[in-house]
Amino acid sequence: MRIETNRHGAVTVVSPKGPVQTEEDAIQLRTESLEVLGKTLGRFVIDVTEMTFVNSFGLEALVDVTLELGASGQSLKLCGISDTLREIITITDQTSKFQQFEDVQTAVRSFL
Amino acid sequence: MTSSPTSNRFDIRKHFARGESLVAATGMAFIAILALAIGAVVWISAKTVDVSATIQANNQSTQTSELIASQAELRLRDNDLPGLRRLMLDAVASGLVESCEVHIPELGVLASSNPSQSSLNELPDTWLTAPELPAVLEYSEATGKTTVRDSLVVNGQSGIVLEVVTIRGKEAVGSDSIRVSSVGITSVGLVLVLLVYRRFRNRLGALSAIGDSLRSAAEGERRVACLIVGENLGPEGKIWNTLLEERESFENVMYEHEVAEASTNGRIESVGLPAACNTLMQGIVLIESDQTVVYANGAASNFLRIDREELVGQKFDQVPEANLIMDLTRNVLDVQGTKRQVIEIGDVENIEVHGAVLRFVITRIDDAEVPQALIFIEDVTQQRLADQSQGAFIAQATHELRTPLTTIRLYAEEAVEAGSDDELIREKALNVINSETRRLERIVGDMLCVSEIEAGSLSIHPDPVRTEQMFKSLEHDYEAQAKEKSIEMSFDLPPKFPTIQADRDRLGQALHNLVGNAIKYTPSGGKVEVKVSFADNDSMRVDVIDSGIGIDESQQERIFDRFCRADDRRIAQVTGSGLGLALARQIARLHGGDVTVESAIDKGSTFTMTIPGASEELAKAA
Repeated sequence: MRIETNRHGAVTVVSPKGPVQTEEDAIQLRTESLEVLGKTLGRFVIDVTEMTFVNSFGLEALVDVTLELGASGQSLKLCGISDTLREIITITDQTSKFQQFEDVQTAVRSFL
Repeated sequence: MTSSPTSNRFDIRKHFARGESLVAATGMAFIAILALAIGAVVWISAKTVDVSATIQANNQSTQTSELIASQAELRLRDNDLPGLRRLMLDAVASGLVESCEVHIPELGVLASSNPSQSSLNELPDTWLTAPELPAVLEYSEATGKTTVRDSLVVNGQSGIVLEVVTIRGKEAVGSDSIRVSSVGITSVGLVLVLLVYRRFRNRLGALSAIGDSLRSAAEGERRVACLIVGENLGPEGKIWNTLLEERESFENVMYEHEVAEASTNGRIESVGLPAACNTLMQGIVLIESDQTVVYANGAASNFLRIDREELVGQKFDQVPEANLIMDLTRNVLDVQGTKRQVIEIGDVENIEVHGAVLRFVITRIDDAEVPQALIFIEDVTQQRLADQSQGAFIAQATHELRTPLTTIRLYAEEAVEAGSDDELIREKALNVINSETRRLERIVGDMLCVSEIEAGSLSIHPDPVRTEQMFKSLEHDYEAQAKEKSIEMSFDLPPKFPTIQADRDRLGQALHNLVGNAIKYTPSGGKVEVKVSFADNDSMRVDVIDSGIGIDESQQERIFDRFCRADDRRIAQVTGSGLGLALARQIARLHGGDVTVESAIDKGSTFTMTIPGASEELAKAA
């Protein structure tokens, strides 16, 4: 898995490319997301369109990031969620912990 | 994903359903085999004893017969028939034989244990001699009696027969009972074993299933759904499931506790106003007149980049991020000063340095015994950036609209001034006015389209579109413009044009934007080529290739954003709203296709639009 970051206006979009299926992938996702969080004061979204699969490590990383954002009254914004990921989030009862958006544009506009 | 080290090992347990006790099953099988083995041994032993007893009984009968025979021969030699008859009676009286008699075949009975059967009173002088044969033993299963027939020799003459009947011993008869008993006991034992197995099977199954569950837990499995055992495994299974559910509930409680703790930076304020303030994305800081921070929510600690525990109780002027608002804060806290101050800190032009544009609203609270100041902090970076983009767009749009309007006004004036005197001038002016009006129409169309995209209401209405007509029109529209810039424009069109399903106006708008851009950003003397091709399923591909200035790789995705133009000083003098490519891509995507770009600086760009065919769309819909 590799992670790309792009700026859409003042919002940073973190885009993991490929499945998160090892502990190393999850650590990379958590580390880079928290790094972006620190730089942008939480003004970022994770575009999971190309994150084809996420295992328990990856989900835990996403939950960690949203918990960190929760400390400042925010929650993680995810966009481009596939049916598989949505099912994983639902089954593990984590739906309420994330804000979900159809696409990047909508997620970015939510900061307005 | 890690695999269990035992995953490849042959595991007999997999042949049993979960909950079945391997120990119980094998134990029961072992006991059944053992019982059968014991039964078989008893059976064989009884059989052996039976054979031995038979042999012994036969030997005894033979010996008795031989003894009686020797005594009978002596009595006959002496012609002592009374003695012979006493011998018969004595033999029966001894209990060794049941009956015995001495007879001469075809002549009669000389002596018998039953005196009434004796038919000869004396030994005849002659009788039919028969060859001397060994004693013959016969056993009757029906009567359980053994008959021994022996030949007596009297005065060297054989032919007299001694017949002795004996009863087999009780030992031999008892072996049958032993065999029957062994079969019975073994059968009863097996039935009892099965009953005991059925009785304890569920209990042992529960223990086995719990054991499996514990092994899974030891390997890292934590999902309750994977650890619970069947409800039909008795009380042990139910208790185990209850324990697991209680553990899950406890973990959930702990998890919620952790979440609450994290959301309050370690301070559990799960109820009331503090909890409500902690859910705000806006920072709130309450400071007293001596600058001591008495309250701060999580968002405030995030914006001020300081741990909340550290922030509360600290002097506000000691917080590095608060330096820029300290003068305003002091002013607000001064009862003589302004009651409310607003300031924005940060610069959207330099977000990398400032990180954000923060809006601070500082308000004095006079109701308290000592003046307090409430500082409300909000991240307005995105809003300011949007404002800036919108301002730039309005400026650009105004410029875009003004250019054709000015041209129209000038040519209209010229046409009016020329009047009917100069037909040529008037015709030229009307042509320019017509062209500029169409340009104006496109710009306004783009703006309306942007509004629809912003509102999320942009939609397409597919109809059959004759592509040949559409591309001929496109070529005609840009022919003059290309000629004016001395650009060599060519259209590589296929020999056969299919009719496709598309929104003609939207598709035309997208193609105009792509071709218009290519001409706009290609210097004089350059080339623009439009290549159109159709696949078998009527899907359309349009490549707009120019030899223009090219786009840096870092800008290639950004140019498709609304109101965005490539960050390149070479296009500073080229007017553009930054909408064309965004609209072209949006329109292509609404048709199920896309617009992509390949470009290299100073070598040119290729914009490719793909529109799927009607058959492909139908397949997708199916």
